[in-house]
Amino acid sequence: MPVAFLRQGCSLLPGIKKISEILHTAEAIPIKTKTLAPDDTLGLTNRCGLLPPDDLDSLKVGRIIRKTSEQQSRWLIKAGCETWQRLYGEQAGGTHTGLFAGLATIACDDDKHVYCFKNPKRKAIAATLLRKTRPLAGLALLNTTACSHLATQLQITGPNAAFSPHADAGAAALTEAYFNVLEGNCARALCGAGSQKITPLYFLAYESLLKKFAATPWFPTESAAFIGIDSVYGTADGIPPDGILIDTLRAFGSEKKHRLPAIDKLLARLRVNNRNLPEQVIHTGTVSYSDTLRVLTASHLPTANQFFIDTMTGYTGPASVLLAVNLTLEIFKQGIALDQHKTVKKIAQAPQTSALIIAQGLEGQVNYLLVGKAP
Amino acid sequence: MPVAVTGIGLFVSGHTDVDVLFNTLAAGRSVIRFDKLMQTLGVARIASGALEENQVEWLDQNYPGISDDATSIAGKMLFHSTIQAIREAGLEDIDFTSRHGMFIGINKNLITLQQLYSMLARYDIEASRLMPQPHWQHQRPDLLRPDQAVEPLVKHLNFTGTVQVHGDACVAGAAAIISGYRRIVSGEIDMAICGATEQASQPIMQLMFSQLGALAQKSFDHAELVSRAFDKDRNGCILSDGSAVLILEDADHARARNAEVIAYIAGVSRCSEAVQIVSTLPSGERYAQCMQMALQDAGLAPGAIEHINAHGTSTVLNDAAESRAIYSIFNTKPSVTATKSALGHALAASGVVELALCAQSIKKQQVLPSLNFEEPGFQEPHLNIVHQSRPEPLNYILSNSFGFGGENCSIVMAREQN
Repeated sequence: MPVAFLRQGCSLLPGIKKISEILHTAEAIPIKTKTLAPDDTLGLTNRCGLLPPDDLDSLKVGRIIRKTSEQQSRWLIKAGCETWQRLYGEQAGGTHTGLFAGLATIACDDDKHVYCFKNPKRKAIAATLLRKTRPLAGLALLNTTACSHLATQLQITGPNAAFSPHADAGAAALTEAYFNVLEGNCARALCGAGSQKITPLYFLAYESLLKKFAATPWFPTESAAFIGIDSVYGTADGIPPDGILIDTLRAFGSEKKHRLPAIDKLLARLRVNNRNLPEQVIHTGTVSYSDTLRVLTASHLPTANQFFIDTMTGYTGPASVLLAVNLTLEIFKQGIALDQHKTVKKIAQAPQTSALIIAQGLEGQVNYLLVGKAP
Repeated sequence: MPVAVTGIGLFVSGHTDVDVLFNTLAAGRSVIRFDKLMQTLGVARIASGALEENQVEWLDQNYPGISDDATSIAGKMLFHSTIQAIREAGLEDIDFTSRHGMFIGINKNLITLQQLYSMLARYDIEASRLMPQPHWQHQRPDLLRPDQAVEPLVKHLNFTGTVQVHGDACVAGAAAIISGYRRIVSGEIDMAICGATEQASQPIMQLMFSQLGALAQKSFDHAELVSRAFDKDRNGCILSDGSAVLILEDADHARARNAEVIAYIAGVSRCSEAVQIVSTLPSGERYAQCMQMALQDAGLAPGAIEHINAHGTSTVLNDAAESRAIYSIFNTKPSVTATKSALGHALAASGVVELALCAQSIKKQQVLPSLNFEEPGFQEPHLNIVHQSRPEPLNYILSNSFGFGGENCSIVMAREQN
């Protein structure tokens, strides 16, 4: 069974510096922002996890990148570049490197006055939108702006793909990266995802939809996370990988609320290939029916520890899968197991060999990613 | 593993299938008009390939299950294209399984201006009144989600395989085709519904392109003269609405069920430029690299390509770079057309619409014209641009999609299995 080699990357979450801090905090939802949102008419500061703005000063990016990136892109650029520097130093990406990203929709309302109309009339809106917005605002609206900037900054010229459904775009990116590495289209891949920047428009638009699915209360969090995926074991300098990606599967469940579609198929593939069943399960895109999901998962994997990452981090959308991978690699590193009842987590010393990340998308899409300890 | 195209569905301005569209373009006609909605917004003489007024009604009448405001216009176009492609492929009675995949490109699932006003008006009122109201659901804020355009389709088809929604700017559709193609080649699936949809004429999208300076600025007396790929007087693209879907299938799978094969996908490439977000290298070097990778993937020499459907957006810099890239590899041998000259640029959907037209060209052994091309710009190569539709023996066609920010795709389509 061919595998890809995983390397732990950067995870940006409000209030913590490293993914390992999730393991050592007592709070149910520790990711509370210390940053006050200006003009916070919705009281978002207390209802969301907000990342601080980043001017990209630490990355020495060019003028065009500064001018055409808004906050949401900047978190991705920061997390991507820091991951790259940590894993590959000053090397340029080149044609053998791929870039795969899960993106949220960019609303481009860093400056709410771009879209703010006290007396909205059609002609006034046209005049403002079409004539008075800042130059290059249009570029910032493109979802793929961040990918372009990352490619430019790191000189990545291999295959690429960007995905933009909210909940599981990160899983789509990771799956695509995995296939491209396995099939030899690239020797390594920088793979990441970012959540939606939380603005009043976003909050209002999504709360009514997502609160049906999310843990109660719905607590969206801004985040970005990246990993490296290599086709070969370890680096030229002899640094071993942090884990392996053994298998992936994506399936659509027609009865969306109570199913783990095609999980039998995935587990059967493991048995055929003489691989152990995973001892750890990490759920992302946590849904309001998590108790049902826990029971259903236990029926397939009765001895596995289960952890619902969104109850600790808040809802991070596309970033959640990449956060889960980075957390899994940390669990392997520390030789621990992570279990959870409701919002309380339990940690036990228990060496793990593999973990199944189950990423729930909206409306029935389920993504399985089987991550193993590096050999 | 050879991959066959066994079904095509399409929806663009004034056209509900690829055959009729092909005939329109072959006759040298354009779907581009001055945009009426932009005119009502006080912006005159913006040309676009927006849907005609009765086309949304047509979709609603033909697909009553998605006729309410729960599905965006992009979603409705995609629904039609997919159903049509499935029907053409003879798959109406199929039960979808995990051996099937759906790969769809869409950038923005934009809400209507009226819905936007309602949201924006809430910015400046008290926090307590900002909470979603009972009538909020009727405004369907979830329509903002790009994948929402795909959702009605998945439910209607009772689709249980992989569903992947690409958002790779102007190459999202081509990228979706490439993902589906690769999953078939790897043996993971037997069949893929690959397509894209975009309502690019939506005023907010026009804002984006206007701000970039990418939208055609120069005024022409007739809207159909504005989009003029590779011509010396070109000065920007025009945006359009559209959707197209191809059914890709493992050739053996298609043969086993006696499906008619329209064409084959022979090779693909997808790469980042890493040059600059707003422009490519003027030499066209990165575009050339992308085309060469597709040829390599197909195992073909440049001389095998008889026809190219260029990205050809009618923007000054990108057309110049693409013409140099084409010339550097192929010289003037293959005929070149840019169908955006008649259709406009449907962003995510453009690559799939163009591949659908390439498949028709192969089927009919006929090339389509590139409208409004008179002579190339200063110091740009003279390509073999097609002025009028004509019969041509076509075994291999190359189709380019080059996106803002340097995300490039090239796809080689073939008449016969390699």
